[in-house]
Amino acid sequence: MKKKIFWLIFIYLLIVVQIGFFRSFPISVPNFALITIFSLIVFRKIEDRFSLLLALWGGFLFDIFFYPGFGIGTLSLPIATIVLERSRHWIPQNKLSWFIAKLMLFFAIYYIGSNGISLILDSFLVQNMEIPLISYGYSFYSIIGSLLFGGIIFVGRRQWRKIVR
Amino acid sequence: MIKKNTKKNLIFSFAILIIFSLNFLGGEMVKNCFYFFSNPLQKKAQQAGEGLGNLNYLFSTKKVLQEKNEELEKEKNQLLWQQSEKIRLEKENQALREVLNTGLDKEFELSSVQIVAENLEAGWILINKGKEQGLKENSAIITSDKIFVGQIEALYSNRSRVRLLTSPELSIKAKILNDDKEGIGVVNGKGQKRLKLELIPLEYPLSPGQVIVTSISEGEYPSGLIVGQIQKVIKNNLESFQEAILNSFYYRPNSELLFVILNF
Repeated sequence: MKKKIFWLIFIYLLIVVQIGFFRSFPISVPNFALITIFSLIVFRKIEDRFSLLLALWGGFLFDIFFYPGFGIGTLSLPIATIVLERSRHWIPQNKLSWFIAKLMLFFAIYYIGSNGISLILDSFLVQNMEIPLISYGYSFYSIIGSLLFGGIIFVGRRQWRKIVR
Repeated sequence: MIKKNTKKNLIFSFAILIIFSLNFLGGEMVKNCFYFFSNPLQKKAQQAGEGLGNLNYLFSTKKVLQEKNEELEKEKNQLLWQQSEKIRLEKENQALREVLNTGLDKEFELSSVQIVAENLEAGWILINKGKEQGLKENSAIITSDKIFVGQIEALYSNRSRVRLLTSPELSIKAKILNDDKEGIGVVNGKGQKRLKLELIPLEYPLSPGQVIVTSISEGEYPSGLIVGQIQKVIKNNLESFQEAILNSFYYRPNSELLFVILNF
């Protein structure tokens, strides 16, 4: 339980630090919180419902800090998580290349989901909910950076496990 | 087991429903609470980020690491904080001096604001004042040199979200600065640094380099605020209007001081 609460607080702090720390950087940076959520989901056991709670919390925070209203992150991140959980059956996860493939799949679903949901919400809500096609963390640099960061997490975890053994 | 899963699914759906309902009730309060609690940490992270952007921090940190002296590291960091604070204050003072020199404060009733968060790709910034400081929805945001930045889109108690002019969601009435003939059109944001001037009659003499300013609106912003400069004219003789690609004077806000026009 303590570990779960730790991760929920960690994601919140990561988002806050990210929007503060990288604000004055000249190029857009990866969405570290999204990659961390992805890594936590991938490295957890399939039965664990915590991944969905984590995605819901992450999506809610994205709505607060990145999006104009509520619902875009809250819906799209759990959807991407559910697809990611299902993909366990047909995508192995013991190789870096598959890990990167999963990360790209996760990003693609989240990206398409968030844009689609924003358009749907925009059509029946008074406030402006539309987000541009190139939204937060999806420029060329940030995608390359995300894949690199994801790769580092994967390799780092593997090395760590070797040391622990 | 099935019952347990159904119960969990129900709780999950209920949570989504509650979050979604925040769009209608209490959403602003929730956002404001998060912004309020996150502010101290966000500010510290921002200052550290600005310090890192400034290469001095890298060198000083390296030096401190080489010396392996914790006390010195603390002192240096403190000095860097002071230095970045000094730079920020100098920038603020410079902007305020510019306002006083140009007489902008006599022309409009202004309130100085600072950017606390931004999402340039999504076309908005968050400023450090809101309802409690007397800001109003749709008020215009400008720089000290009268460049139009955007309009307040959403108000919170102590924060406001500003829709940037370069955002595709914002379009304004604008006119071309020309001695001979006044041309009025509409400027639309196209994302990133791009702006487009549209609905200019085909016979109007548009040329690169012409400056575009805001035109009279319905009480939302004053006329004469600088919008951009024509970079390229697009003419199609089959259509009755011509367009122009504009260079925006304002793109990356960084940490400079901005001004909200309260009255004009």
